[in-house]
Amino acid sequence: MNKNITSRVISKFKKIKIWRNPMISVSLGFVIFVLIVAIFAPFVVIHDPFQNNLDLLLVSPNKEYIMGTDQYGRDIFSRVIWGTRESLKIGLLSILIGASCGIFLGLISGYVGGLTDDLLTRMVNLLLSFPVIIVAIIVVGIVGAGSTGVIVALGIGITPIFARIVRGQVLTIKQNTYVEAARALGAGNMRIIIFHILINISGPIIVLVTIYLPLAILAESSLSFLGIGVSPDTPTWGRIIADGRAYIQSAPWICLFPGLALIITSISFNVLGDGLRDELDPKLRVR
Amino acid sequence: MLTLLVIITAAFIITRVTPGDPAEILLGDYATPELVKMVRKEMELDKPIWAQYFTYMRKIIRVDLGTSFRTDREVTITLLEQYPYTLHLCLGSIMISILFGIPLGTLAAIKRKSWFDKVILPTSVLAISTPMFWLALLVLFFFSIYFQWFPLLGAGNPNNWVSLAYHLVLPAFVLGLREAAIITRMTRATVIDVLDQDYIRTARAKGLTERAVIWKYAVRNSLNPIASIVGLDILSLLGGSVIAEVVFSRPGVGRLLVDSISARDYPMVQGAILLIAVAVIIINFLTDISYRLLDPRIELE
Repeated sequence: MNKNITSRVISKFKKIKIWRNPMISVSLGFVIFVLIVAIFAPFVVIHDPFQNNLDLLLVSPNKEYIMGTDQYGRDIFSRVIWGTRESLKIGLLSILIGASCGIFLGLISGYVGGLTDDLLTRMVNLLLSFPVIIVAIIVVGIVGAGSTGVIVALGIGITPIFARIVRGQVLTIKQNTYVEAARALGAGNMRIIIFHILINISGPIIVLVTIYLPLAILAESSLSFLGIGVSPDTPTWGRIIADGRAYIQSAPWICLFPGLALIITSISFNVLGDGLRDELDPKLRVR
Repeated sequence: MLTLLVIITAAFIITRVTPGDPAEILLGDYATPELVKMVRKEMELDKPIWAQYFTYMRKIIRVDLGTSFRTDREVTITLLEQYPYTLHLCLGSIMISILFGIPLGTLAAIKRKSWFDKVILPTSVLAISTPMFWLALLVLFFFSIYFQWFPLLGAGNPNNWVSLAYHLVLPAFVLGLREAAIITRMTRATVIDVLDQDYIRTARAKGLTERAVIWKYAVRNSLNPIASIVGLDILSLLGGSVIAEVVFSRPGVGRLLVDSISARDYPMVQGAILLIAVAVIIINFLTDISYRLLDPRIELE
């Protein structure tokens, strides 16, 4: 059964012609590169990203420390590499939480309909009318800062976005004759939801994930920058920039390199997301 | 109205479920238990939760948001002092994003596939992908520290509008850039769609100049979808203003919210959330009205 889903998704991907576009294939390459760096971060770092070195405070970029060092003498390159791991981890986990909750609520809302749908839609619209970052700030205020707090906060911020789009998709797909046919053949609700509805909205969901992953990473760095994100000993990109902010005059490289890493990663995901969206679901374009 | 009631209640619940005792935080680590008890009594935190909610609701009807735990000033007055700064910032940014976004997007759509169009798309992706606080630091570094063209901190003298505007330039630009990029892309896509419509062909067929076709027919008909995007953008500007206020050390509601949350200043957090909620409702309402103004065919419900 599970194999069936995977093979269908893969065959859907094989049909995509966008890989011929150089911008998109380069982006895909970079996304894969970033993922590899994140996974193998402990083997990529040259120096210990947490090791203070009082002899090497605020050293400008050189051969040994290619991105310089910060106010504690820590190697920026190693911290940026480690930051890749932390930033992606938080981004992916918050998307995972937000997407699962959103898909779940969207499926219920769209499939069940009636009063449940009414209440859920109202809740989703209320949450959506607030800027994600403000929702996140308030949630972090409640659950407390730190990686977990940020992941939960961003997850809650992302949930209504997925819920609304999934609900819309479910409403259209529910009308199809194949759903009716499945029901006539005696398929249960769970079976219809998983094998007939969920599988048919997998395209839009993949697109949404690629679009919102860079946003989640940016939001995490913004929260960390505001000082209500991850704890100081977790070097995410946003946290490194926040730490280097006071030294922008004497040591601009502390802020420069993590920022560049953030931008390039975000661009790659955005280009990839745009390409996938055009291919898989052009209707999602309205944003 | 119902929405407002839900938000008012939510703001209350949010502040009560937040861990951390405001009295202890206010008094610091060396407070005696008796003192904490006394302060809690003064803050009316010793009463049962429903009594606190009742007092809170009764006060809100009289637009009394209580006094801040931290500064001992009335929340309403503090908010009234702070909100113009955020308003200026948001208005400035939205003006920048519209003034750049709509003409650039239209031009890119008209001159589709020209070099201009090909430059616009990657530039907008760059603008959307750049984290605002990082761009803010970069801009501060170059224009305030290196060239010293613009002030580094603050919002200027509140009684002098030139000083206010001067202090607004950098934050408004940084905050508006991302939205400008989004509006550019949206305008481009909409105008391209509209240019394919039958009435454009008719307008051209009856011999109107290209300029008239574009400005009277194409852009006019594109304004509605653009208005909805602008409405959404103002909302995200509201979120971005928090970060801009912190980076540029400007006063404002967003910064007040962040500071009050870390200080567990319940009345101030409630007040700031309420103010933002009211702003959100007003923005949504204005967006709805603008649909009607831009397209008389739409009936308001």
